[in-house]
Amino acid sequence: MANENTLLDVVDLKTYFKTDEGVVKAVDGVSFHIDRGETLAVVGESGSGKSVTALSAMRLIASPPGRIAGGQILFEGEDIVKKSEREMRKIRGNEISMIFQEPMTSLNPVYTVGDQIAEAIVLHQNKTKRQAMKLATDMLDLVGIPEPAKRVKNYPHQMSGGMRQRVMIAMALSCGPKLLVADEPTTALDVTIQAQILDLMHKLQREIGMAILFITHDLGVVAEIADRVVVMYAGRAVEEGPVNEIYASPKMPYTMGLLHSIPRVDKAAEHQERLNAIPGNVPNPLYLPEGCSFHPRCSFATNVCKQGIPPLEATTGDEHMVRCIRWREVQEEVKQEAVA
Amino acid sequence: MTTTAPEASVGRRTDGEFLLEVDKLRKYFPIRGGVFSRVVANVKAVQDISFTIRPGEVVGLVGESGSGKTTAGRSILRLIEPTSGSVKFNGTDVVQLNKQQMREYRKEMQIIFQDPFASLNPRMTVGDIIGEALVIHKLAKGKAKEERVADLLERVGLSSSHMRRYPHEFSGGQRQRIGIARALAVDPKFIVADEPVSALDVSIQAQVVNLLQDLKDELGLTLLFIAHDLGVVEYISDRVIVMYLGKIMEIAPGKELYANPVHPYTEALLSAIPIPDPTLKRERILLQGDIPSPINPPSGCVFRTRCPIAIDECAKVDPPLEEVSPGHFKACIRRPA
Repeated sequence: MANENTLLDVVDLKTYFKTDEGVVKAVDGVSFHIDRGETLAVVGESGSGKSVTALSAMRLIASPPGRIAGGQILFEGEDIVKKSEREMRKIRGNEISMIFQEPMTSLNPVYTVGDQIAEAIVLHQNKTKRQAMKLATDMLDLVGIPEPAKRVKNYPHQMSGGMRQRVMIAMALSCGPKLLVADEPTTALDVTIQAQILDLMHKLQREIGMAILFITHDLGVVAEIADRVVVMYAGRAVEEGPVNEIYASPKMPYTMGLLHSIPRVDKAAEHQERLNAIPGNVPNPLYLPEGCSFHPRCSFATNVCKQGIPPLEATTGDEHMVRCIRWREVQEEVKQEAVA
Repeated sequence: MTTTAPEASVGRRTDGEFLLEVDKLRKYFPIRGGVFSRVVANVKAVQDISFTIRPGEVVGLVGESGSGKTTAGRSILRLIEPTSGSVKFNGTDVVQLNKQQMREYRKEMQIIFQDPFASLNPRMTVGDIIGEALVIHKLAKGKAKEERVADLLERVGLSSSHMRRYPHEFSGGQRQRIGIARALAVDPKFIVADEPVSALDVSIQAQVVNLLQDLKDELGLTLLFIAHDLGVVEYISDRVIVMYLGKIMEIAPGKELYANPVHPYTEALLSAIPIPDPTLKRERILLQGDIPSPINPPSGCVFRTRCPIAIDECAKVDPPLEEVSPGHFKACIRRPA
């Protein structure tokens, strides 16, 4: 559903890794698009391929062992997959920038945070070091770091985790990117600090207007930040749609299971005694089950689920897509269960 | 209604009412410096906390990084030596025991660790890992040991055939089950579960929480469940203790804490948790700044520097834990008792 407003259009992306035991298809045919100024969340558990999807979009897959084995990543209509490393360097940190999960390890410990923010500015924009440092101070101010003029001379170890993530965001936004790729940016942070960072990202998006590709395992965070969601499982997108719709009426049994397994603090008084767990484990990516990868853990699965990988098909409206051959029957069964 | 917590509960004590009584437990980590390596400062990880746990009860201990929850858990088991205070297990103060006496008590008090990847020896088979404590405490050997291990593996939802495998062959959730089986091997009365599900995916997390709940019911375990996630804690805990910067902010029966939080920190913590419902628009209490350094914690109430309702008085008074309703205690002078 790419249109003139589309900023990033990922088409049938395949990212494979060569290992001693065989080829791991970490991302196997994933397609999605992001419009200008919108937030798309890619959600999944460990091994779902969500982070590899993000790294592919930045062309940051280490090769070997990894490679983009197929598909297109169209950024403003141009295929990033075909670009040279030199061309990529002009895009990275400039038009597309990224923040990572670990604010502790993604900053260089031997440079001040000011130097690190200024580096990208000098590299991409026609600015002197002095101008860049001034801009770095402004950026720190923008991301809510108190006393930015003093803090700009700090080394990363002098800052707390939340503060470092603010520095990462300042660095990522310093060149006014059109797309921000955020790979689990709040996972390593405490909830009260996470709330601060999410609030900041919201505010900056309103001010700067960049689109965000938000990678997370936390469906709570998705509900807060995203416009649309792609749910991934074992290297494939299994459900996609506007955030309100996915949460109100999930169609894929995996999404339903995931939503049910989250403890809800807002419903503490009314809920039952047990959490609803999804049985079993995430499959080994080298030996994916036949047919739908989720069928061994799915309570709705029948024999048809073992035959062939189901297509990602449109459900209610073409915005809401699901990869489940039995989604209509599943809807019925859920309804009957609710009545009973 | 304005009795203070520890005294009140100690006063009501009849023998055998509590399995564990923690009284003014303190752990300071010294920072040494200078030519003579003198103690120049202390990291005040746990500052005089008191609470009790009844037999068969599950108590959740919640806090963010730096709250002292893990240090508290480990000090109770004497995996690190407390600086002062007492920990009475079945009436005996384990802090006073010597090494040999303590060994006897280790059988009764076990721990499940957070990281299922780092806490299992990669060179030992699962059978040896689970059976090690049986050998050390001379509880079983040979065939009896093997049978016990097989029984434990099945109890935690694994198969007895897994005994001869190594930890790397298991997923995170399965490894955590192995860690649980190891803790159960010596039939402990009390287990400290230190963030047992934090490293796991949500779907697996729910499996492990349910397993712990089943084991608690079957074996009558008493648990101290340490976590940073208020959501998970709620499912398993009878009572919840909220810690901040080495001190207890609030203690309440599970559901009560979520329905009627009294301490402003608990309120902020609850409101910071993202709810998986995009249509829910909440008034969020956004705390400013970061948790202060435990080397030099704020005077008076340790939370006052980030508290939205703090007044001058909060810097002067160390707020006592006061009972607001039966079993519900708070340490805040700004909220009526």
